[in-house]
Amino acid sequence: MSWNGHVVVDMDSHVYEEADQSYQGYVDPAFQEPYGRLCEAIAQQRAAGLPYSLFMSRNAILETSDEGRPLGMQDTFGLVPERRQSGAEERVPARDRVRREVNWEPRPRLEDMDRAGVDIGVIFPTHASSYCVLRDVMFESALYRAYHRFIANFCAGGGGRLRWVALPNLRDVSTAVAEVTDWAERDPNLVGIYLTPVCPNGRLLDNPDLHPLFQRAQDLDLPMLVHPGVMRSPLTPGALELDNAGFLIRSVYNPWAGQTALSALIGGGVFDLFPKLRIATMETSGGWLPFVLAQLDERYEASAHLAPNLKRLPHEIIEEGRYFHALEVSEKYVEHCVHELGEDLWIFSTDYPHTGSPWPNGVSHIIDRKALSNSTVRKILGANAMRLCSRLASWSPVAGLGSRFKSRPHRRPE
Amino acid sequence: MSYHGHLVVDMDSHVREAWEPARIYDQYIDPDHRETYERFAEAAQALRTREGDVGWDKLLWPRRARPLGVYEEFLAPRATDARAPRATHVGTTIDPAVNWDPSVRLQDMDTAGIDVAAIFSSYASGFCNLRDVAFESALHRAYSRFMSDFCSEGEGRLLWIANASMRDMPETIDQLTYWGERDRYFAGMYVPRACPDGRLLDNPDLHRLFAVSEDLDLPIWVHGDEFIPPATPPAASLSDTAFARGVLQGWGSMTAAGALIGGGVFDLFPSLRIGLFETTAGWMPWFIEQLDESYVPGSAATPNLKRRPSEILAGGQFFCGIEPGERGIANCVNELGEDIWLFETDYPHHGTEWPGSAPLVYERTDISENAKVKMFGENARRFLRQYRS
Repeated sequence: MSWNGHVVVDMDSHVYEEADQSYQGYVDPAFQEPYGRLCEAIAQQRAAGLPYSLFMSRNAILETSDEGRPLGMQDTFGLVPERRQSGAEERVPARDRVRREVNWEPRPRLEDMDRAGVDIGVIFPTHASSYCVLRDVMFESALYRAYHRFIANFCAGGGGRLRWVALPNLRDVSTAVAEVTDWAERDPNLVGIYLTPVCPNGRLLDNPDLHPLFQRAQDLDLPMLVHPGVMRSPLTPGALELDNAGFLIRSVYNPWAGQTALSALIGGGVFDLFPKLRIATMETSGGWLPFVLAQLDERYEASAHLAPNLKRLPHEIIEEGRYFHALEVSEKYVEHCVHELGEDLWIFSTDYPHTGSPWPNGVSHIIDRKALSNSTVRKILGANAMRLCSRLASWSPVAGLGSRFKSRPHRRPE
Repeated sequence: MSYHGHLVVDMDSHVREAWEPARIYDQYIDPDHRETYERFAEAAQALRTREGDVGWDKLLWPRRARPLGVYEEFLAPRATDARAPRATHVGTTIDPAVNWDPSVRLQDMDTAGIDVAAIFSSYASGFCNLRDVAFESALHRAYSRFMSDFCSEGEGRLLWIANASMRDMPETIDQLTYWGERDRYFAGMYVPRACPDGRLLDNPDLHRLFAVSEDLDLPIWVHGDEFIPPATPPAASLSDTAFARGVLQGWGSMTAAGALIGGGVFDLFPSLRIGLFETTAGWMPWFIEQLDESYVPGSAATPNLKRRPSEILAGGQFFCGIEPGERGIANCVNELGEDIWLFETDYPHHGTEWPGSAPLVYERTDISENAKVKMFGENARRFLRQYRS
């Protein structure tokens, strides 16, 4: 119990999964052939002296992207010199300060969590949700199954402190429902279901095709956890309209993704149709939420006919306590957020070990805020996460996994 | 001086030039473009289904609103367009003559406690969807002639903003210079939130426009609409989802502000004043923090930007309209100061609170009297050329 005897939960950490290494031994035999071709492409990329990249770069294997256009200039052909400020610790990417082994070995990861004062880390993949760009939907599902086997084994070595999030294939919802159900029944370390901010086909999260997934999540008492990814599929609004301007993309892309997701979920009546479902949004910052909720209220009053499943004002949904929102620990308006919307929806997240993570100082960014009460700090650091993810409530530092769950070894594919 | 002896300037009002477009364009269109205009007007007229119907939208930027959370509702077009054309959302009624008769408009301003109004067009930015750039420019010139005559009868209380022809910068600069040198009620150029070709407002093609505006001491007025071209985020990617697009209306202005700031426009043109209008403002404190976080001195991403974005906001060149009923006004003022906010009503559009806009600010207890005085008029005095001298 890292903060005054209270649990600290990092609701948004990651592993840097690398398809050729992380999934080795976990891919279904039936998909070894396409997997082998993917690994061969990665090998050629490495042989060419390029860093591993399936997405988010000009040299990516599966989906290229470019956010390198300088603002205010005509064509630069990439020749504008970059001069970064030296000595700014916060500008040094966490991935350069964190051991690579934390992505596949539980022990160094737990050591890092101890150093950061984090009891439990909820782990998302880094890029895997973008396998939706694959033409072969069945291979996409096979890669998600491989990821699940990999991450389940990884978390099994964490004594209950490492928890993971399942990746549903949004292009094959029935398969996704079966996969999530299977893991939920046999792995207590699974605590939620990853939801991209839009569907791979560009539809928003109000899409009724997703209702069976929401229904099963509700039945399994697992929350849906919305997480964006910058300039990788499924592309979210703004991706194609920001003219490759990295300065703007890095400023607004993820927050806009979060705003789109929340607007569609609320406007689509998801909270009304699934009255026990809990949903959270990660890595989009929190300062925009009071403003957007006011806008949603106003829009509902003016255009309720455009949200036929929504039965109440959006802010009433937030007050009900089933929506949660990850704050960035160093953002300026944490106190404003709490003042406007109360203390019961904000959750702690560090994005460890990604670039920009405050590791190992995330917790201190919260507890050093003098304007936050002890009650608020306790809720942000862990209590709200325990309400969001009911499976976290079973954890105790003495027993590791609680009595409700028995950890079992995970099968590798036959 | 309607607010305790202080000036009240409505910095975002409109004429609905599509209500009876013949009143605006018939008399003022260039002879060379009259034949095209008559075909255009006839086609738009054929698409009108009721009083006040724009027509141009169905011709140049048709759209439908999709309800969230269901597959298909098969809404009939009129079902989403059923509001009374003369009514505001607060139930008051506005005489369409305010769009062509200055005396009627001035009476409405008196009723609302407005001393001076700056007037935008309503739909003209969508002419960038015309294939004929020269005809687009001709429509903008006709509008300018009409507005110049309209405001000349406004007893000094009506100011107008010209529409930039974004695909023809030399023409736009000619018009800016022409009106800037001749018309004391001309207030500057209306620039949409992005260029019609998808480029953002950091586009160096606009630098000449900024330089001439700076020389003439005229501000740039950035305005737009999620549903009228040129498209800004999230117009393209949220397609027909009217509910979500309406909620996220700040995105276009975030894009514009981010491109202008990040593109170094305030550094390259140190006397130029730029305002954002009809965008809500509650997002601004959070957004500026995001830009500050992204700013790295000397970064290749922003080679012209020489200081933190928050310093630009404090520098007196940047202004932002604020909707009088916005919940987040106090937070905006507390976080970013009193000197950038401009009072706006959106009169006579459906969304205006007319005549109750100014009282929504009078009655606020969460901002100081000084902040109200600045918001109502003192900030506008610094923005408008008409008051600076």
